[in-house]
Amino acid sequence: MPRWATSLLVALAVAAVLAGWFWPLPESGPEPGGDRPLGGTEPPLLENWSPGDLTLVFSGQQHGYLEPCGCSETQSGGFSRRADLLRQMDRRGFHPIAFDLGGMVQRRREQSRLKYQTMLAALGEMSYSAVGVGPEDLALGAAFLLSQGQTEDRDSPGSPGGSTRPYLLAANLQLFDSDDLPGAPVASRLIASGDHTIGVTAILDPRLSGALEAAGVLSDVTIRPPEDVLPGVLDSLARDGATILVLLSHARIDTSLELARRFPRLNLVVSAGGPEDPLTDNPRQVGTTTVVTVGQKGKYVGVVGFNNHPQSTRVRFELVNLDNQRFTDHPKMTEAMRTYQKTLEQLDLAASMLPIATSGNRKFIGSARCGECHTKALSKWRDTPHASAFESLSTGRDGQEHNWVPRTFDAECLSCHVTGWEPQKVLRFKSGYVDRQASSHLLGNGCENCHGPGSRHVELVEAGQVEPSLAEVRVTLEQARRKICISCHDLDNSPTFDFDTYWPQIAHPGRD
Amino acid sequence: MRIAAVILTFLAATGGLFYGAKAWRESTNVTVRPDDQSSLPTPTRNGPHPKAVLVGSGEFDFGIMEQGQESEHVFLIRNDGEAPLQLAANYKGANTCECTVGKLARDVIPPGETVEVTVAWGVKKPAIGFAHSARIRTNDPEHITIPLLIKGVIGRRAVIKPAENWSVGQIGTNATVDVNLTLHSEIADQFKLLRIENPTGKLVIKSRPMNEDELEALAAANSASPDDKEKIAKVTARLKAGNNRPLPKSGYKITATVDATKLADGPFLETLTFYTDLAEDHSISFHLSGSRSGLLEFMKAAGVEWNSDRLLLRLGTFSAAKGKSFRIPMLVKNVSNDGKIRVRATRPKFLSVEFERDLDFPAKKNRRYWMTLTIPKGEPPVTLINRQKGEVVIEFVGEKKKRLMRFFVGFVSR
Repeated sequence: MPRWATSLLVALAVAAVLAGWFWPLPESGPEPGGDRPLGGTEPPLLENWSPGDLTLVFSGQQHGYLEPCGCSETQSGGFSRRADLLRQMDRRGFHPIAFDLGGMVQRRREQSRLKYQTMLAALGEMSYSAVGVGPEDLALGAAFLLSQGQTEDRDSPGSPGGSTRPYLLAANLQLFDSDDLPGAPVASRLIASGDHTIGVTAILDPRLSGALEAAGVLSDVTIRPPEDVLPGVLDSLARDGATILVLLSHARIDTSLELARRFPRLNLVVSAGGPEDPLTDNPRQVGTTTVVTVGQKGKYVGVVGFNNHPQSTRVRFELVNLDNQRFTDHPKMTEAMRTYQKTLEQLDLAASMLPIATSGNRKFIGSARCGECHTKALSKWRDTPHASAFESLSTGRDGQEHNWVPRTFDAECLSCHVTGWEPQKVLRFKSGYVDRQASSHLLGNGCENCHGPGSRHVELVEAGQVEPSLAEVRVTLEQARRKICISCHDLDNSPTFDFDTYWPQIAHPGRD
Repeated sequence: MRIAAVILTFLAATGGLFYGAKAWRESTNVTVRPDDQSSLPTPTRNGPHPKAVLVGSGEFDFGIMEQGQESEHVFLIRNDGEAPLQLAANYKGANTCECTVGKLARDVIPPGETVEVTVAWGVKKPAIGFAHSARIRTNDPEHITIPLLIKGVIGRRAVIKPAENWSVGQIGTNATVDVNLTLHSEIADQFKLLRIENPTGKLVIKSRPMNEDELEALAAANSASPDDKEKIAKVTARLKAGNNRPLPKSGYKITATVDATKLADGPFLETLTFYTDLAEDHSISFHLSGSRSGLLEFMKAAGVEWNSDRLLLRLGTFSAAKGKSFRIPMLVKNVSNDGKIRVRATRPKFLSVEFERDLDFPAKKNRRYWMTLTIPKGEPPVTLINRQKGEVVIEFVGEKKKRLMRFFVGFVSR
């Protein structure tokens, strides 16, 4: 080869290396586990995981969010997508064993009890093995919790197709001053899977008992210090052949870390108490114990993998965001939602809940009555989605119609879709919407939800007292911005709400 | 042929070198890629380059903000380089929260000039504090992104502690229960409690302003008991120094007394509305619930559902012709002496109720009975659900005062 040709080849090779090195690269983005954007950019699910390894799935602190956090479908979470995740894992050959930390509800109403039952049954459909107990669950009442517990033994709870309710798990709880009550949460469970035997137990942090006091149930419950009960429970699990010890710790994260330090025998601690989106500092390592958190509102589940060698406990962890890109609805969960809504209707819960009084016992009179004088304001209102807010509970929003489950008897939805409810506390005012027959004048998010019940205003107008009548219903833009609109347009239910954008769409004249 | 082989080998080798070098660099730099890179400023390979300099701090503390409040801060970026500085904000992945917006006065800055970058923040979500960043993308090879950080604490105009909804649970028919709460502000140094409204008039309410010690104890409530003054002082000093948590600035202590003799049997829900001068027409409400009962609970039994708030035992649907009998464990709570239990009244009258003490039940302060509740066969069909219910009144005799206990029954017999 001529000398010039050799030189040319060398030069071209150097150029190729330099070009490769200096070729413009995309910008460095956020660190893994940081603030990466949702949807479309999520990594492939369990990439490079081996289906042969032991796989455990953890969820917790659902806080009432049976559906994706709020009613916006762009948000993460929901039982349906969780069931789809488990279905996808199953199709790929994983046979995960699932656990929940508890903390399933937010309020302590009859509806919350029904929701808890629905969720527990749904977890059974998803073959969950055990569910811990959070303070919110206990606040539903000790007798109620006993009615939800398993009393009979059953075969492998992780078996596919199983729809038995999962076991309630709490090692340090005593109800009604007795250790011998049918249905009481059990201290631990042993679950065999391949070469592994998982010993799982759960505790509730006594420092979280404030919720029980506020619920008036503290006198029915004794929460023992976890450090007093765990040695015996772990000994027992080890004696019975557990190769992997797991603690479901319904505690603040600092308490869970301390428990991990005190009980190094634990392979895994799954803790409540972390942030809603636990994207950083997760997982943590305390000696040989891995500590993970799975967030709140059911937006994420944590998947933990143990390689399939009993002598070695290499742990992998992926926090799976239940987004609407990778996960879809699961028909069984849609059916669970349908049953839940049907039961709400049958029990007539929204109508039979105790109402709260309005200030000065003022009464809601309905938007049509307001419109007798304020015709332009009524006309404007009728053109806004506020007027059809009730109907939207029957039909769903655009794009949701295909598998929408009507929820016109669901107090948690009604509170922002009818007139005369306290939205954030989900309480009905005495003269507020009861049901479609009795309150057809209060359908939709009407005038009085912002301006207050109108009966006194009308009385004052009819008595010719103009100024006091105006003061009755006056709302400043500042008041609307600061507290009124956001009582329904909160981050969960209206994440893109912006007062300056939304207000012009409903701006209306006060008088004709 | 030989030349062609040499050329092909050479092309393959150069391609390999090119991609190898690119991959090597990628592996050392890139972690997660934002979506759309094509429209973002990118440093040029050759100079002259711009130089982005942050004038002043890249972090701003908004201090105490209130929910619903919106504020903004202007950061300054100067171009100390020799080429125009290109800037971009609000690209996907730029901000840690949709609520943070980096607004640019201009997106191309000539050398020597300065640009204002406005970061706005609106408090939409109840939280203790916030810390977010807006990232500005540049074509300065030394500073491809400039993070602008904002933080602050979210103070509430009025707060009710321990909670805005409080349940006293089940209370005896003659009980008097005091509920202690506080109303405080994290915004105002002082405020007036103008009036307290309880529409039913069934609660007795007392209130008085809190002093400094009480406000400090309230701030430290999660970490120290109200009597541990030394710990309270330590905790509040730490909280003040940390400046990352809103503290009570002013407040009132309130006691609401529930007198069960003024209430009907069953569940109750009372509202207290506090009117203050914290803003025009400012008010905040507290809801107090509970159940006036004889302190009893029913335990798990087949075909039965117990709602302890509503004192309602649901028995389901069955044949009126066949009737039905239920055997249900029942707890009588907080019993100080042994005593006897007997039925005072039932509605409908045909309900039959019998009790049998469980002498093996180990709990100290509770007694367990087996209740046999029978709807005899052949009685007329009834629908006792929702707003229409049956009722059983029983009494526990043996304590100083006779204890009356009432519960409701729901079933459908067809």
